[in-house]
Amino acid sequence: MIDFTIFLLLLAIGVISIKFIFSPTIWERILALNLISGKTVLLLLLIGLQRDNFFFLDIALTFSIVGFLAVTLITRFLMEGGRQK
Amino acid sequence: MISNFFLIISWVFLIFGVIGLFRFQSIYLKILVAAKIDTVAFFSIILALVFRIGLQWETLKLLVILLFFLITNPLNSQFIGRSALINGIPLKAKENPSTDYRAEKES
Repeated sequence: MIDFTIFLLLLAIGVISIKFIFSPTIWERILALNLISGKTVLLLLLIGLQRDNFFFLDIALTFSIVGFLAVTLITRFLMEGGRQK
Repeated sequence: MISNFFLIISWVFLIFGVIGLFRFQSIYLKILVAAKIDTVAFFSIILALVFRIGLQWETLKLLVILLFFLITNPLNSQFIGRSALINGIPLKAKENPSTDYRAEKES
């Protein structure tokens, strides 16, 4: 069950990466980045459970904090007007 | 047994999220998909892991990750939508095949 969930998460990350590369506007790219960061946290948790190594939980918490800061700071930068200001 | 049930729920919602991301044309509908369906998948996978590892100290860490994600994912969705609205993407797109197919069929 866990192996198939890992496979499905990898497939979802691969499909969303296509959306991340070939999107017309920048907000759709940031949305795809948000989805990829959430799925990366899930992937780290599942790999940590599969290998009985609970240090992966700390790495997953760090990844969630970094993803939140990246999306928030990029959107606040674009809300002010971006580089055209 | 209960963890397998939650994993099957998470498969369904992961597949629906990816399909919805490709199906909808407007960005606000995509933000809706990202905010609701992905949160349900995250919630069910972490509940499955909690039921699988039992009651340990690592369960608390999993619940901290779940609480952090439940607070920050709606914030991210709201920031992206507000940024797109301020920078001039219209709320109702004129050429939107996912919502206008009924009008085309009648005409």
